[in-house]
Amino acid sequence: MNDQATPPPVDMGPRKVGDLSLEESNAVRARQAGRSKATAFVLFGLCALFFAITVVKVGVWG
Amino acid sequence: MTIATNNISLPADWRDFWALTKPRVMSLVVFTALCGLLAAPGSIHPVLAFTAILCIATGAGASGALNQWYEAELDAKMKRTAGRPLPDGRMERESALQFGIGLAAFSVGIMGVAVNWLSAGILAFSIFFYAVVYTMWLKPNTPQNIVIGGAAGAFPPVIGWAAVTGDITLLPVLMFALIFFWTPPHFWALALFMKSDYGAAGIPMLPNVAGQRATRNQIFGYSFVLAAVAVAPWLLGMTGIIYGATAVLLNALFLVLAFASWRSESIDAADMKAEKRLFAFSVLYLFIAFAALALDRMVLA
Repeated sequence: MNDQATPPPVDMGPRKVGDLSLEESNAVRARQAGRSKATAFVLFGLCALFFAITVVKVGVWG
Repeated sequence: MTIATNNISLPADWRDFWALTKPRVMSLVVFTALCGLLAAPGSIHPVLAFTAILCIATGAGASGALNQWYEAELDAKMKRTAGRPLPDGRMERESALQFGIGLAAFSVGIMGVAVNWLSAGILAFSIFFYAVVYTMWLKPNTPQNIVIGGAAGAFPPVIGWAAVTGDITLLPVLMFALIFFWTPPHFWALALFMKSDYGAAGIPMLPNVAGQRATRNQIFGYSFVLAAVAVAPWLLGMTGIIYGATAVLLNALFLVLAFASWRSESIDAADMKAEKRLFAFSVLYLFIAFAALALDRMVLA
């Protein structure tokens, strides 16, 4: 058992995207993060809007 | 969704998608639609009113995105538009097309389900009219492009009205006519001092095709038609003195500025102060006219 090689430590730091350098990968990830946040904001707003429309249509608020 | 920028491939930024919707044009669309909605008789639940305005804004954004998708190569030739996401290479053209179609489907669908199908139908037609009839057919082919194409921008107050009432009467038709006859003097004033830009892109705007004198004559002529249409709601008893007085004052000023432009013989864009004043005032004109109309109708109600 002790003869088995210890697996290399997992790198938990910033990881590269494809063949890009670390700086380029960070730029891509920053752009993706911005788009994800914008999408989340829009989806959250739509959920609230659809809920409000449904409530109005079924007449809960008159 | 990715595009080569410098040496790396970056996804398009969310701000680029926002820029595709032409936010400044959208603000005028939202305002006139809101005025149409407020001027309409009857009532609408605030949530549905908000939904209607959101759908109109989204529909305008869809039109802008489809316009930029189709005109990406033309935009690259004009200084005014060269910095847009597509000509600047910040986004793939296909993304703009998908975004535009998605927004159009969303806006029409939600308008129909949540508000009513008459307003959704007019919204769908206005998107089609702007993206296909104006952008693809009229704009590259005729110097009368913005005369007929002006109809696309004239629909929002009609949609706002239809969202409340579910029908169309004479007043929303007059609101449509107000924007329709406002568009030629507004855009031709711009085209006079942006003549070289439009010429570089090969767009047959009136100054490039018929000359500056003919354009100034047309601006002055349309200003009289605009004045007649603008005061009609008051003369026909559909609005009170608030709108009547505002319309008379605004159109008197518009005619004075159009007259100054008509008298001008400036050829160089840098000397076209009269045209620049008329263009700037025309934007203010539309905002004030519609605000006065909505206010007047709300007071009358």
